[in-house]
Amino acid sequence: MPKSTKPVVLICDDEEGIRESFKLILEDLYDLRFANNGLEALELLKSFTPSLMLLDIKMPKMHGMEILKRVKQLKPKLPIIIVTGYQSVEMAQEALKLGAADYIPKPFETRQIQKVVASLCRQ
Amino acid sequence: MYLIALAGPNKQSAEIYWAVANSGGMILAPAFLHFVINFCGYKRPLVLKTAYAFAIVFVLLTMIGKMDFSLRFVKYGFYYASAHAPLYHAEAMLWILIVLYGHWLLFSAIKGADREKQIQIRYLAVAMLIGFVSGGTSHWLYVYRVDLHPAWNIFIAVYCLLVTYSIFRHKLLGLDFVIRKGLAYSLLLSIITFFYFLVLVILENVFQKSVGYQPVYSISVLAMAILLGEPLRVKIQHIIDYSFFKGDVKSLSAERELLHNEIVKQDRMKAVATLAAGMAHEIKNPLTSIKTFAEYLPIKYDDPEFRKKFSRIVVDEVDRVNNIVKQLLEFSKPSELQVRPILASDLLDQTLSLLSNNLLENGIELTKHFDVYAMIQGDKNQLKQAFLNLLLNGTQSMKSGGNLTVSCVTQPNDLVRISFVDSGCGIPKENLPHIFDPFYTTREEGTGLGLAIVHSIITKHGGKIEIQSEVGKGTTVNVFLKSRD
Repeated sequence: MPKSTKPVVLICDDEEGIRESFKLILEDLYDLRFANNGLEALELLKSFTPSLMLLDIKMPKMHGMEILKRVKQLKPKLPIIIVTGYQSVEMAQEALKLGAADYIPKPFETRQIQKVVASLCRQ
Repeated sequence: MYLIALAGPNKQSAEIYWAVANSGGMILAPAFLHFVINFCGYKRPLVLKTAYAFAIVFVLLTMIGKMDFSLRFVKYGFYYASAHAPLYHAEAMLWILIVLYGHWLLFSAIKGADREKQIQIRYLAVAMLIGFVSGGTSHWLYVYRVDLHPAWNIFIAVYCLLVTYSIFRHKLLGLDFVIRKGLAYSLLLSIITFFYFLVLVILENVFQKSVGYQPVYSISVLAMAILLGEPLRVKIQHIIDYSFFKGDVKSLSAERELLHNEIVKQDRMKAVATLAAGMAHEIKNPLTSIKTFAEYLPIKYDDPEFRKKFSRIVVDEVDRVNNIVKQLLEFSKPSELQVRPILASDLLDQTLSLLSNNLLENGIELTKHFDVYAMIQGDKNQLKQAFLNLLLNGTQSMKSGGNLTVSCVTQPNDLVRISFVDSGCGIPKENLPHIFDPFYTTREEGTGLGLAIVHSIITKHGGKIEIQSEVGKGTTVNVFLKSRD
């Protein structure tokens, strides 16, 4: 893995449009890594520890909540932001209870993403 | 009638009642067969006519006194019949044969029936078995000198009550519950029967001692007992209804209707909620991409790479939203049905031809079992779409090859069953109740509207769809559509 001075952000989303959107918003300031699903994300996390993870909920192979649980077991200190089209108070509460650092509903504001990512990467 | 026959005050009157009871019992067997044939949708006119003909012959033989009941007075103080005439053995055999054949037809119908009908048949089969075993043994075993106590006849009532109860209250609930409730109901009603029986015996003895025995007195006594006991019967029945079932038959029926409407309403609300949640997710994702790309357009306009991605991703996402809306409209308000008679095998062949490449590429072996005369009544294009969706689901579950069996068969109940059986990955048990929910999907591709649309099309045709699946073994989809003769 080539060394980079930028903070590493892992983006786990099955949709190309969303991955490309994150690229537009974050690629100038962060070293972005992508996973199409939870299994790929867990595999990638064995080889490196990012500064932050952006995680979708509805994905094939593994539900976002399950990925959150497993990543938290693997890397308890890794901040995880849930970014999802499912807007439900219960799900947001559950995600925060499981250790998510934030919960952002889609469609998100570019500035909101930049602000939250910057703030968590600084920590 | 058996009770009266057994309790006849003398041999002469007991003989008359045995003759009447025997005739009724004999007619009951073909009547039961007739009911089963109609209920299960079989066509057996010759068998039915033969059964009725034999039963009528035995009734006539009974009436003209050729059956020779040879009554004997036994330990409980009742008159039992013994078989002296060989005709009586023949009659017993015929009765047992018809009843067994009826039950065999009833149990055979379970396999081909839809789920609701299967439950109804199971109720009936258990009720009929109880009724005929108790009725049969209490009639025929005396003949072969196995003397049961007359109280054994009470079990016949279980049959009637079990059927009535399951129809009015727990048509679709667990069988054990129905049996439990049915037994409680019949036990209490048997108290009334016992009351009639007691009144009858006492009054008959009174008549016999005072005016001498005449059969006409027994009939009069029976009529009197029924007339006098009627208010008591009604009262007890009401108490039972209110204590056990919280209402009479009429209010039970109304309650059932209300419950059904409530379930339908709740299901509709749940479907709307699922639909809204699914739609929100499906539309918010493309909206996010479109919004972000639109925001960056003024900044990155000069970047050719960005423009290339913009034109591809934004157009794809708009198409995706458009497709979701189109499917949603199709699901919520499918176009008007153009109903025509269709040869099911032709329709299936045409649909399968659209998939021939797909089957070949995925290494799927296709087996067809078509009833070439199976005619259905429906909209060719909509049914083709439904079958195509089902077949696509089947092939997508067999990514590394497998077997796909498509069959159509005309059932005796005027339905055509079209089956799609695959040896794919199967559907987990917990997902099965949701597979027809709109936007419900576990696959990487697709919107989750495919099976919801299939369900909508089949329901609109007045048909039914059932899915059985086991993870690792495969899935069977049965579609039932009205046949056209």
